Amino acid sequence: MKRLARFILLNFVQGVREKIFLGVIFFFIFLLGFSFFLSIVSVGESASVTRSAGLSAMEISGLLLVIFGFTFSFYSDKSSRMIEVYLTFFSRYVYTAGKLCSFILIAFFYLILAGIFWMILLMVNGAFFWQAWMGILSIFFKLSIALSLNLLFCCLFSSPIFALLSTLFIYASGEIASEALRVVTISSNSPISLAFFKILKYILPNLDKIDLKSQLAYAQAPDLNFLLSMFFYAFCYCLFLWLLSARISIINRN
Amino acid sequence: MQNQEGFISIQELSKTFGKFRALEKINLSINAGEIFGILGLNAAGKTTLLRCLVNFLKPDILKGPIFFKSNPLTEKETHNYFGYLPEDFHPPLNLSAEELLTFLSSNSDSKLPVKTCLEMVGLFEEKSKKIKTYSRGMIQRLGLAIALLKDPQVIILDEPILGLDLAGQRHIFSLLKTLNHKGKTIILSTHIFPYIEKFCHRIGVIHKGKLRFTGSIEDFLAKQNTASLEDAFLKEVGI
Repeated sequence: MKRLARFILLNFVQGVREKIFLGVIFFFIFLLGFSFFLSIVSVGESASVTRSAGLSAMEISGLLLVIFGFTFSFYSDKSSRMIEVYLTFFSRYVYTAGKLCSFILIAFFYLILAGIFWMILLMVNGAFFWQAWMGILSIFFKLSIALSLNLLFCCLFSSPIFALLSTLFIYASGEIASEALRVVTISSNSPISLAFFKILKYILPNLDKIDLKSQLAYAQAPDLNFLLSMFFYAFCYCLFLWLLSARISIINRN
Repeated sequence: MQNQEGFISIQELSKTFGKFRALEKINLSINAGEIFGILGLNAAGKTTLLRCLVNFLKPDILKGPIFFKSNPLTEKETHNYFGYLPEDFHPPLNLSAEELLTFLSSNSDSKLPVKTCLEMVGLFEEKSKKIKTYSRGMIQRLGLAIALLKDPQVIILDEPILGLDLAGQRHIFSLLKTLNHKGKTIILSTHIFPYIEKFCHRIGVIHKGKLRFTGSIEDFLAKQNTASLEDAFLKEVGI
């Protein structure tokens, strides 16, 4: 456990010192400024636009940070031969767990920073309510799932481009999975295609189910049980993908 | 299962990448406390052999496990007793040497303090500087410091003097000799023949994935009937 903890810290320190981290913060501030402008031009909906656009800005910038940052870090270890050095200290299970947990920590740290800016904007716009932090938490769970997907594809593919695009594709699919299934249910009579899409919906991450933007835009907070179920869903999904990734990494080590 | 031959013993190790046979039925025995040099042309299989030794690659065919101190080598033993410096090693640039070594060190048995490792390789004065300011020679020495963190019994180095100037090469080999005098077994691959002749107790010659010779340099020279190691090597590989 100590080796894992130290490896997580090593990657965390590396990650927050990378230029991409600073770049994403500036990008977020730009997006936040744009959401402030949007709130001004949205007559009568200023508060809801500030909350919703701010959360979207956090999610977009956070997604860019974790996916690009993680992919760069993972493939950089391969090309620099550092992975060979690391694997003389600990197993591939520890390596993949350390990589995943370190970027989950980076995502958390980033969301804390971004959240502070967002909260200040909410206060300035008179849109603040104390349950707003739940929105940050839901984005954190979504980013954790995105990271575990990214880990899976990084272990599967030798090309970082494939890993990046696959992660983004599955993430986007996870956002629209429920809606797509609803459309298929209405338009299709075939039980086979219905069953197929239903299975696909459960395999894909149900990101729309753990998205709280539309609720929090109108200052409607979910209850604690829902938050707990979000946490368990994200935890189990990440754990499963990590185990699968570590196994693939061992099989693919040649 | 026990094998009494050698400190580290490999029997009929083979490794292919697709259709390319990188290693073919390698039989190798390395004695405790020796400096063993692996010679070969580019793409001969030196790096693949070293990667199999540190368990980074899994051999396709191996007659029994790799033996370490007469017992099958386990992954845990690799983690605890083997130090490794890969070829063309590039550590993270935005950390300092002290940070990198501190993060990698943990409370396992047989540990050397970070300060000791840095002093041994002559990087203690530069420990707080970011690695991106380091020269190639300093990076190689940092790699060696990482390999020494576990106070390993076996140090495996793939082209440790690649890209170094003469002073850097001498420094690394002088360091390796000091470590060998302290009882470390050293396995290294290099193309620089003068250092092989000066420092290695025994050598192995790999050509096209096959181990063509293992033994002392004197025996190798006698086999090829020449006084020059370089000439003997070129004769052995058919150039």
